[in-house]
Amino acid sequence: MNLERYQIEASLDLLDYEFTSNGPKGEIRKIVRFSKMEVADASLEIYNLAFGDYNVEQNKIDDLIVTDNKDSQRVLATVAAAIIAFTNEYPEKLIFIQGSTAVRMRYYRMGISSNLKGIEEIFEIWGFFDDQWELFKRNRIYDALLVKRK
Amino acid sequence: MAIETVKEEIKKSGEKNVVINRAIKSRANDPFFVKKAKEAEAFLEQHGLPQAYVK
Repeated sequence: MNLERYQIEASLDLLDYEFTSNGPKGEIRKIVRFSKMEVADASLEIYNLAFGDYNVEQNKIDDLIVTDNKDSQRVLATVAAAIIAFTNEYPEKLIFIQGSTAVRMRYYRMGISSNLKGIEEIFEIWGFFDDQWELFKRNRIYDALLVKRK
Repeated sequence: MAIETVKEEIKKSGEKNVVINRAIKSRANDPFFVKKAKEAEAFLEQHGLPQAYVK
């Protein structure tokens, strides 16, 4: 997994991350956060991974905007670096991931599929497919993912 | 001194591209992330978890 990544800055508790995408559309600030979830029957604590573009004018985060900064692979690899940093600090936490759109979810799935061997060495990945959870398989269209450090 | 601090921070994150920066603020109460976490909770409430992670 030696993909090109952006330098990413993290908060002291490694729950919040920020980096700057650089491409034809200019510099776009990306915000990533792991938010603790309340799930009744879970045996482990679960954190929701969400990220989006920071809109300076509106002072808000947007995960529906299509940035088209021609760096989606690099952005995805950078978010993966945040996942590694988070799970280095919190190896016993589960991470829940759901794309904001079907297209985003497809990006994530393709990113995992193309690096599956390396990813599976350090992570256990579950996908929600056909109304049930299963260990990640290529060519499945998952509604959501759960990630746990091995 | 500053260089040594950066090294320690990189070691803490354990990921070479990730540097700890005290200026990165918590967005725990940001409406965007609060909404996302609620949606995620609703998904798991409806669909459950893999058996391996159920109490």
